[in-house]
Amino acid sequence: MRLILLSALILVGLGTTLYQVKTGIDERQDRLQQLELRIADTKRDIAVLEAEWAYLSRPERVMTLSGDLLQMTPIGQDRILPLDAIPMRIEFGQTGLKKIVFNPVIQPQKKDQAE
Amino acid sequence: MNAPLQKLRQLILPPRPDPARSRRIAEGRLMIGCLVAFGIFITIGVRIVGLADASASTRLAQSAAAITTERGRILDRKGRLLAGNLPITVLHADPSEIMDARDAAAKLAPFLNHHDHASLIKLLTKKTRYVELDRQLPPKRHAQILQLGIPGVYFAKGAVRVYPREHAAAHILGHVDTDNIGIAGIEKSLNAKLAAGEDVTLSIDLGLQAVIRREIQQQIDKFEAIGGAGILLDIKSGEMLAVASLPDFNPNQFALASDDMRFNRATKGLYEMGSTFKVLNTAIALESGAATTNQRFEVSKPMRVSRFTITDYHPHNKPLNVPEILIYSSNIGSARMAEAIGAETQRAFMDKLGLLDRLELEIPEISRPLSPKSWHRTTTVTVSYGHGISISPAHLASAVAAASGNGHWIQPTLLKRQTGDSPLRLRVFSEQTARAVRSMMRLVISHEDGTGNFAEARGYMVGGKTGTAEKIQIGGYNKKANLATFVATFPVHDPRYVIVILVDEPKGQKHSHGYATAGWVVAPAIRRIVEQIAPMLGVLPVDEKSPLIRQKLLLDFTIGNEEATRASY
Repeated sequence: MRLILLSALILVGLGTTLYQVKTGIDERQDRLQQLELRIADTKRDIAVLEAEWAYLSRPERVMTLSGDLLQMTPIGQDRILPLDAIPMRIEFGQTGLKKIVFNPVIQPQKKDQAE
Repeated sequence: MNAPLQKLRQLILPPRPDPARSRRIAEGRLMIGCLVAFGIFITIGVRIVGLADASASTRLAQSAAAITTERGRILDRKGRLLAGNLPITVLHADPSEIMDARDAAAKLAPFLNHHDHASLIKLLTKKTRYVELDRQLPPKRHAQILQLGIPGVYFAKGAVRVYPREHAAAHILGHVDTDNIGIAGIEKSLNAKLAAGEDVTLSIDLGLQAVIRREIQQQIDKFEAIGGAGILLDIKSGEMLAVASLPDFNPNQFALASDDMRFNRATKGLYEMGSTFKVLNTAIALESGAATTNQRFEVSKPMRVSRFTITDYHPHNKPLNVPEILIYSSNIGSARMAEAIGAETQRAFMDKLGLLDRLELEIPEISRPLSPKSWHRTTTVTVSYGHGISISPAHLASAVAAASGNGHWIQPTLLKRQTGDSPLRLRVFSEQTARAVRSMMRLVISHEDGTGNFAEARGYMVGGKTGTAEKIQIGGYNKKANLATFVATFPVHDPRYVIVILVDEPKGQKHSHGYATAGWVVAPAIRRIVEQIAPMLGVLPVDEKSPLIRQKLLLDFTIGNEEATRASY
C-alpha cells in the first residue's frame, strides 16, 4: 500500500515537472523567435544604413564636395616631408629640459618652372 | 419473507462475503485502479514530451525559413562596401483569392507606379496563383495598401542587389539577374561562394580606383576619345589595385548599359600596344645577351623587312645605343635589337611573360591574345615595337611589372591576398636587367629628349614609356585612329607599382597643337594620377639628386652627346 502511494506521488511529481518543462520550453521558444526576428530586423536596418553610407561616401561625390565646398585640392609633393627632414631644436632652461621647438625655418622646395 | 423478495434483495445487496475473501477482492480492485492511473499518467507524460518536442521542431523550421541566407557582400581591400543587399518589400497577389478584380484594381492603382487600372485588371484576372504587383515598396505605401484590406493581396520580404558606388569598378563587380545569380564579373565567377553567404574581398582599392577613373575620363573628354582603360598593379603581390574601363555603366541600371559600356577594355579588350613593347624588347635583349646597354645599332636608314618598311618618327643620323633607342622610341633600333635576339628567344620570353595565353584573372571577361601562329622574321621585327601581337592592358601591366620590377612575373589577381598566400612567381629577368630597364624608363620621362616628359611627377621618381599605335582595321592600319598608351613604374629606385593607361582614338586638339600622341594625351594623366595616389599609397617624395637614390639606379648611359649622369635625371 505504501509502495503504491509513493509511486503515485512520484508520478504526480514527474507529471508536474514535465508540464513545467514543456511550458518553459514554449516560453523560451517564443523568446528565441522574437530575438531572431529582432536580429533579422536589425540586420536589415544595418544593411540599409551600410548601403546608404556607401552611397554617400562615394569617392566621386566626396571629391566633388571637398573641391566645391572646401576648395580642397590634391596635396602637392612639396608639402610632404619625412619626419627626420624636420630639424628639431631642444631648448634647455635653468631647470633642465624645457621644451622641444620645431625649427620654423623650413624652405619649401621651389616649384618646377614648367608647372 | 417470501422467496421472490429474498432473491431481489440478494441481487441488490449481495450477502457480505467472509472478511478474508472480501480483502482479496478489495486488493485486486485497488491494483487495477492503480494500474489504470499509472497508465493514464504515463500516457499524459509521453504526450507532453511529444508535444513539447513537436512544437519546438516546427517552430524552428519556421524561423529557419524566415531567415534565408543572404548573398555575400563584395568589399574592397579596405573593407568598403562595393556590392550589398538592400531589403525590399514585394507586393504580390493571388488572383484566385481576389473576389472583385475591378474593385481591387481601382483601389490599388493610385498606390502603384508601374501599373494603371487596366493593366492591374489584366494581372488580377490571370489564371495563376502568383502575380507580382510591385517591388521596393516604401514603408508608407506599404501601410496604405495594408489599410485597403483587399483579400488576396500579400506582402513578402525580399532583397535586391545594390551597388552603392555606382560606376566605380562596375566591370569588375559584374551583375546578377533577377534570381540573384551572377551573370558577369566577380558576381558570376564567384557565384557559388557569394550565394553561400560568404563575403568576397577584392584587391581593388576604391579610392585609387576613383582617382584613376576620373583622370582617364578627363583625358577622354579633352581629346574626344571613344574610350579608355587603366590598371594599377602592385608589383610585389600581383594585386590589381585599380581596374578601370571607360565608358562604364551604373550596375544598378544594368539594363540601360550598351554593349560598348559593358565591354571591359582593361581585361578583355585586345590591342596592339605599340611602342610600350619596347620596354619588353629592351629587357629581353639585355637578358638574353643580344645587346649590352652601350651597344649601338644603325638607325639612319629605313629598314625593309619583306613587304614592310620600318621608319622612325624622328630620324637619327648616327647609331643609337640601347637607352637612346628607348628614349627616342626608335622603331628601327628596336627592330635591329629584335633581330639580334632572334625569333625563338623572343617567342620564349613572350610566353614566359604570359603574353601568348589568357591571363587567368578571377572574372570571366578575359581573352586570349592574338599572336601569329608561326613566328617569322617579320613577326620578330614588328613585335619588338608592339605590332603583330594584340594583348589586353592587364597583360601589358603584368609583363612590364616583371621587366621593371625585380624580374619576377607574378600571377596577377583581383582578390586581396591573404597573409601566407604564395602567388605563382616566375623569374624571367635578372635583378640587373630589371634595374637597367627601369633606369632607362626613368630617362624617358626625365630626359629632355624623352617622349614622356609630361608624366614627370616631381619627387615620385616615375619611369615609363609612351606608345602611340595606329589601330588595325580590315586590310591594314587606320592612320587616323590611334591608340595612345602609357606604361609607368614608380618609384623607380624601389619599384612598387605599375600603371597602364590607354586612351582609345584620341583626336588632336588645339591645346595639344594637333597632337594625339601618348606623350600629349596620356602622360599628363599619369603625372596627375601619381601625384594623387602616391600619398594614398604611402610613397614619399624623394630628392632625386641625393646619392642614396642615385646609387639605386644605373646611370652610366650616354644619351645624345652627354652622359646621363650629368643629364637632368
